[in-house]
Amino acid sequence: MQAAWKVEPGSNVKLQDYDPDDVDANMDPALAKAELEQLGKELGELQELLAAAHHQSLLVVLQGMDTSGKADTIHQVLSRVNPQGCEVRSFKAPSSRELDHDFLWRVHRVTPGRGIIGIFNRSHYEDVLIVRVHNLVPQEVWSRHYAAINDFERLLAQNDMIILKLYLHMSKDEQERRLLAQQQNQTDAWKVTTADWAERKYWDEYQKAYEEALSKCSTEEALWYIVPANQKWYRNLLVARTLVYTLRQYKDQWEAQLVERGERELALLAQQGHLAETGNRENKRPKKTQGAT
Amino acid sequence: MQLAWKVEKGSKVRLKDYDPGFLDPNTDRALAAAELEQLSVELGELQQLLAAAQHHSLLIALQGMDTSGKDGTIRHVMAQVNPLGCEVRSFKGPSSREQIHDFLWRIHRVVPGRGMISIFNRSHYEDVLVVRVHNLVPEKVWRRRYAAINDFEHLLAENDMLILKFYLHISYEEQEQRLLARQEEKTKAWKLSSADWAERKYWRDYQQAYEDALSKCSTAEAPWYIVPANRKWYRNLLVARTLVSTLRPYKKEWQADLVKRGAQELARIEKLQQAGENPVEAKPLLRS
Repeated sequence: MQAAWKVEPGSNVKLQDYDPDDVDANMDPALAKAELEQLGKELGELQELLAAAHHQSLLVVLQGMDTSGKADTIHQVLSRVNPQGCEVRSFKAPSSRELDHDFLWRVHRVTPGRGIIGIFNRSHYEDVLIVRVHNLVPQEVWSRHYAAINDFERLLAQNDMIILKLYLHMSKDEQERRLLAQQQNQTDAWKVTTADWAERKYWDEYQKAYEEALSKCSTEEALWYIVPANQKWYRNLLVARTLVYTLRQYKDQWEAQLVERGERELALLAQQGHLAETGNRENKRPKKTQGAT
Repeated sequence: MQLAWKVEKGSKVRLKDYDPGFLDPNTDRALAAAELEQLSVELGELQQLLAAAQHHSLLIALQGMDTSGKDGTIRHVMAQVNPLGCEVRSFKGPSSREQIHDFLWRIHRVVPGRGMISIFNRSHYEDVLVVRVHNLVPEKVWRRRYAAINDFEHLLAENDMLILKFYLHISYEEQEQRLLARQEEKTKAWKLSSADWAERKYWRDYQQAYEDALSKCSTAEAPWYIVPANRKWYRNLLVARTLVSTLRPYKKEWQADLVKRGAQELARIEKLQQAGENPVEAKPLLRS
């Protein structure tokens, strides 16, 4: 089944080689909706396991041009996930306190701990995107950010973080249509900002900056995926598939860990002689193992 | 002038080559007290400049065996530093919240921002020291931490953090004397813990772990210094000298930063006055 396009580590990405309009010929919005519903459920179940196994964490990075649908993707794909185990972080311009530190400081603070899913709506990649396009720091500074990002993501991955980075790939024409549509629709007009039109002028520079980020920072431990995003329904489907296919590989392992933990707890209780004394409240630790059977 | 011994990048440290009882023969204890006083005043002035210039930050990591004098060093050397611009962080066993993250997560949160000094009383190096000695994680895990630490400190240094790491080097015999002294002296007995005697059994393992940390993680941007620490007063003197001689070269640059910022502010005020605005009510320039 087609998932998002994986950027092979070390490859040189040219975005014009990827069609933002790409759609699987056998798919249509109705079929996709049904599949998305299924995938959403499965994602919810996988997250329960991730939380209970308490071994891995998951970081999903969403990047894309304005109107590419980062917020909408989160809404459509992750609505079935228990909010208790899922944190969404949006990165805007850094505060003055954040500017007092290195660019990864504010990011590291909010990475997901074991058992947690962290969704980054924009991310540390802005420091090689908008920062680069608008010369917010000298080239000498942003050009060394790529290596720093790879070092940082390796640290996270070594600590059992599963990292997926998704670039929502939309065409320039599609962006124009979306901006115009937002302006014409009264209930969408709040989303429009003059900054969006202003940023659009830098389209080519942004595409180039994205190409470099995708090329330099797709690693085995933290892959970039390119998601054709002109069709919203197809974009959502591919994101959901990519997430589910990645997590599915861990399912057996997580289940085994749960069984093992359960057995350990039971053995401990038996050893302490508490197993039969169900009436003794003091000794009965309430067991909260989400999803454990 | 004798400073703490700098560990050159790539060198292989053998701690037995460094004498914990070392004393520069020209050093007079009474003079040392006066010099330390001078140095700590100068350190206070340098810190004022560091804080005002808002360009660099300073991280001082203190490591050493139990009783090597990490607390005492902080108290004596940093006596004249404005606490407003100086944070001391002690790292104990990680909390359960900290344990669900990578080992550098809790460290990164508390690194100093521009203009600030942070003193780490123990540090991320514990993750290749106590963690290694007691096998708290598999060898495979602690082995790769040296590289992770170097990457991390590289990130910090690229962001204009000055990093100095001190290993307070005491001898095995000196530690015994200090532990016994604590037991005999009522006012010091609160510092004792049975863990100190228990940890002492692992002395060799710790020394080996320190040798690895010092050898693998001394870099040009974040050097390790070995401080002969059997004599407390000499230890304090060497740490103070090393700090001051590291910061002094930045003095001119910081002063120039200040003059530049002052000129910018004045120009801005003048512009506002010309526009007929009251500069007192205008917002200050946040960042240049």
